[in-house]
Amino acid sequence: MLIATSIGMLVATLELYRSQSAQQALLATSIRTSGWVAYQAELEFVNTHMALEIARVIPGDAQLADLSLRMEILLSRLPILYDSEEGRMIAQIDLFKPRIQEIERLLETCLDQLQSLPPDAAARASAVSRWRDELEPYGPILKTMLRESVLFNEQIGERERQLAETPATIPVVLGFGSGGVLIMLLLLQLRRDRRALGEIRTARAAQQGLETSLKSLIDAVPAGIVLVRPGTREVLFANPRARSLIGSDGGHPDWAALTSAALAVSGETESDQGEDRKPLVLNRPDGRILSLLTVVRDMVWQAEPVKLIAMADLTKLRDTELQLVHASKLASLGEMASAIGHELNQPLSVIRLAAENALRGLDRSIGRDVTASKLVRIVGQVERAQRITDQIRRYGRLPSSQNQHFPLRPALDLAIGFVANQYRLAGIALLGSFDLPAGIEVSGDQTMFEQVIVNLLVNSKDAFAEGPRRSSAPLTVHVSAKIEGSVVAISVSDNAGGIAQIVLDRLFQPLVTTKPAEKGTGLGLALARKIVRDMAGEIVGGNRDDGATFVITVPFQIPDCAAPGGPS
Amino acid sequence: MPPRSVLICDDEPELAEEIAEFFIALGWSARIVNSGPEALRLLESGFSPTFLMTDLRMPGMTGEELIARVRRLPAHLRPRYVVVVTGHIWETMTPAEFDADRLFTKPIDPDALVAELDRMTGALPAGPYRGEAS
Repeated sequence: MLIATSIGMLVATLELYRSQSAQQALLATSIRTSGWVAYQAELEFVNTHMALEIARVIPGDAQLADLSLRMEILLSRLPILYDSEEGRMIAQIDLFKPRIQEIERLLETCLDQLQSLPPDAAARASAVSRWRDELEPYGPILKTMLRESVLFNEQIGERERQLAETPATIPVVLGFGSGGVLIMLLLLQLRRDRRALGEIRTARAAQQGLETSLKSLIDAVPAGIVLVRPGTREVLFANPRARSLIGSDGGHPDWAALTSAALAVSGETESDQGEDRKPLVLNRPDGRILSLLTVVRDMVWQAEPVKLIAMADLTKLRDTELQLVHASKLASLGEMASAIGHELNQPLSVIRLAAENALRGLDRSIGRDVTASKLVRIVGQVERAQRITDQIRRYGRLPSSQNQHFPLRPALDLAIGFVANQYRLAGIALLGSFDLPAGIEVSGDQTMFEQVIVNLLVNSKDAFAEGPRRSSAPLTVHVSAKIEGSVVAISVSDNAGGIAQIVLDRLFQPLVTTKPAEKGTGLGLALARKIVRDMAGEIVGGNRDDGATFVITVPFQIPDCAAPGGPS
Repeated sequence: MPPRSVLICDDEPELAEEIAEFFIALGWSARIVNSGPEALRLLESGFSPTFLMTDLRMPGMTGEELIARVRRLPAHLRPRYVVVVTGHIWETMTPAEFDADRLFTKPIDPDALVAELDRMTGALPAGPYRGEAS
């Protein structure tokens, strides 16, 4: 803008100079010419006056012819005064024009009369005298015009001289002016630039400060933070927590597993309630298994769009949860100790008596067959006791932290088998209806899943002992499993009167229980939900008909090797 | 010693068989049933044993229910003594809780069982069986 202004001013200066020079030249020419035409007119007026004086004294033909010529010449000079470019330059020519035209008309009249003059000398002299008197008053007009013109010309001449003496005053003044303005503008611009530069420096310092603070903040947070270039997945930055989590620096190939897994997980369709924190299990090269909760965000880092991966290490929490699940299982084993003890005492009783009877039989020399049948019975009862202890061992096993595919049907059978005798003894019918494809598998920890089912079955069984029942129908618990779209739905429903309204909407909260203190930990359903959610499933519960119904929905797989076909 | 009889009620047939076999070897007469209603039917038919020996946890009708029903039988149809044999592991249980004369826990020591029953019927005075008093 500054440059454009300067150039504009320079061009204007040059243009002004050029037009001034042209005008000056034009003026000089025109003014000189105008003086000349005034002078010519005045000269011819004087000549005509002289011819009139001569013809008045000597009114001969020659004198009259000379007079006629002079008057013709004067008549030709007068229109030039107001009708030519030169004449138009005479000062106030428009005011003089009517008087000049009067002279022209007078001269034309005189010339007409001159053609018809009588030969009489006296008459001629009298006519000439009259013409002279008529023309006489106009003399001063032409004189004034000539004087004015000369005066004006002199002023012009003076100005010309002045211009000649100081030939470039105006351009120089203009040049200085424009230069001054230019310098002022430059100074202004410089000041503005300095201020802008100051602001930029301040802003840059602030930005650097912010970036430093942000870096310190990111370094300080207990979560792992990784910045990844979206396309190449190159790690641009990793804070100390992230480096310690992965166990190497950003450039190491181990990071590829993390970044691609995190970005892939974040790219999955938004799950329930738009929750964008995604669990991620990462196998470290050193064999450690990390349970991470990741969040991926778009952000700009050093003027580049990047993906920010924030990771919370839930491994310890997960381990604690597993311990809690385990503790809860042990607690429920404690709750079931009486039933288990009772169950174990049955085969022990048979064994004891069978052995006793065999011994007494030996005394009485009973047949080998009888003794043998006793021993077979004893072996059978030992196996029965072993099944019970196996179930307890299985139930009490520490859960693993990794999801694995396991066949659904045997898991359900094992869970049902665990409580079957308790149901039998309590006189509760345990009905199963399974409409499942052969070999159907679900993903999770099998013992934990079995625990969920056992937990629901024990809850239902206990419910019959608690509330008053409205219906007199036989005590029944129904376990069913069937495919519903992309999930398998496993339901446990009883007719024990339903869940109390007061706990219905807090069913899955920890420490909520309807059971007496010695029977319930209040953790069963809370852990059940945790376990089912770890299987990418959901559990819901409520009242239906005359009892409670719990439905677990989990994704399923059917392995290729499984025989395709109808329900098992 | 007069011949003694026992009605064994247990939903575990194998256990009931072994107990019966044990008593028979001692010269007792023994009958086996696997549920409360069966036991009641047998008692109502006139089989009047010295002992009713019943389990507690049985499907359909529990041992407690069976004992309560037995108490309401006419006196001549009731057994002389009611004995509970249970797999329950709680040591705090007493026979009075079940309205029984004796309570034995599984696994049963057969010699101790017989010794106690002998005491009840012969050498020692009879237990405080209210059914007998009525």
